[in-house]
Amino acid sequence: MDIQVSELYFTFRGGSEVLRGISFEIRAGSRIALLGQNGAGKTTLVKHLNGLLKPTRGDVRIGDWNTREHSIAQFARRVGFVFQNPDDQLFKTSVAAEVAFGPTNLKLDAAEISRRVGRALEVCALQEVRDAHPYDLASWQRRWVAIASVVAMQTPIVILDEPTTGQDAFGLARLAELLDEWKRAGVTVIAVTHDIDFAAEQFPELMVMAQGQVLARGDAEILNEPALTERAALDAPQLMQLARALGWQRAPVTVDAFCAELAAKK
Amino acid sequence: MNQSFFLDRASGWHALHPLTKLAVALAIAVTVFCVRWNYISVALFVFIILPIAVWAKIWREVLRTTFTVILPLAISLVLVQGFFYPGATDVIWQIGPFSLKREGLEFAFVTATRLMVIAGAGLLVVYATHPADLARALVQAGAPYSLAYIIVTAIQLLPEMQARADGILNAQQARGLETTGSLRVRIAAFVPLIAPLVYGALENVQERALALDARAFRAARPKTSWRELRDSQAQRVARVLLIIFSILVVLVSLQAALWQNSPLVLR
Repeated sequence: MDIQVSELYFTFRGGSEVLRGISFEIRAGSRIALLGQNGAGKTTLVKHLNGLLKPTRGDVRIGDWNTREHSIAQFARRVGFVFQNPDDQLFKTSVAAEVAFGPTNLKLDAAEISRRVGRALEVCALQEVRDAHPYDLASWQRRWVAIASVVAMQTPIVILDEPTTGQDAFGLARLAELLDEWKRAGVTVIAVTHDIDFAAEQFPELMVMAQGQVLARGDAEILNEPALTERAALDAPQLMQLARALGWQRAPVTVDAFCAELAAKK
Repeated sequence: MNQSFFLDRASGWHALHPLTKLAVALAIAVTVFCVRWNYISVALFVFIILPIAVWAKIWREVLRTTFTVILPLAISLVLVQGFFYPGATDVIWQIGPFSLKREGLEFAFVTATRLMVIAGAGLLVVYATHPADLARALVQAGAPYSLAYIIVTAIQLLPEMQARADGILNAQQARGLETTGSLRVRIAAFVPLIAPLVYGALENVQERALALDARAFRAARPKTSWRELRDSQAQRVARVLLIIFSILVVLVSLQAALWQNSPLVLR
């Protein structure tokens, strides 16, 4: 399912214009990280992708649906959205029930719901706490409950808002596994993130935003352009900075690529 | 997003001492309840509250909020009291078995406009006073620190809860929760929307308690304040006069209620 954003402008009711003329297309199965400093409009932009916000001008289409013409609940079939704060959604008395909430809203039959819940709990490493109360879990685990509750909806598009917040190395590795899983399933993933290393390492495509506009889109190489990172107020990924400091021509962004480059230099 | 009601505008009303503003609001509130003339509320709103709101450059917000709060109340008051006011006899309009009666409408009008004035007077204070200034003023006036804290927290908490409620609504709708439509759909949506708000509020209480203790909130010594309040002799005099005025209004109306022939009874 393709995403098409054309000439999108958005102004909040208070009067500040947050998105200023954004157009792009995201093909089904793409994996894109959205980068930019606070206030660049990243979260506002992704909230347009499931109809939480409606454009002031312009159009957003998810497949054949224009976001103006369908309710947010209808879009839940097409777009899964993991919010920054898991506590904004957890309300059931067990992890499994919480994860089942989305599929239940999609009116699936009981067997299908329990199959999906089991799978989501497995992918998110939550089987051992499936009967625990979500509020008895640590905050990083609650994030996983929120992620699992979206995994279980099996939408063709998934949006992650700051997925790396509060995750340790183990959590990041699990997140990478989940991204692989989605890749195999052909799911489109769009992640809003401040973690530029994670973005460069895990996402084949990056989109850089500043002041309500998209400045650039491409693979991690675009971050090797100081003019761009400066304008977007971003730091280049650490490995890229290291490569630059070493005076290398190429700037690898994964540890493997960096080591390979290093070995080749020797 | 601004996490309190305070609208930071440069105006003479803003610059007044918080207690002066509170005294004005008190005088307005007392007057509206004590003067037994059906149009006192409208008069106070038009001739006192609106001019102050214009002076303070907050009239748009005061009007918008007052009416969004009062209008639904006013409509239900008119319907319920207009048709079912006990003991009313003066029928204005008959519709089937129901009859709209003058006494009920009058009662609805007086009640709704009174609430409008109370809301307007309250908004004049909270829109034009930084919460910290209000707390400081209350403490200086001798109120216990914890009471000042409770009042200020209550004022600040409302916009915060509103923002959280919006976030929760977004999150549940994104998981396919229908929130509009038939009554049954709306009732079914209640728990998923309220439970996270309540859980969050409870967690918030614990975090607040820890943060307060970490800053020695319960230390039994005088506290310093970052913000300084400006007061003047004229304002002190004005406050005393406003309080004397409020007390007089109460006394006169009590006397009127007892003897039924005071000049303040115009009906």
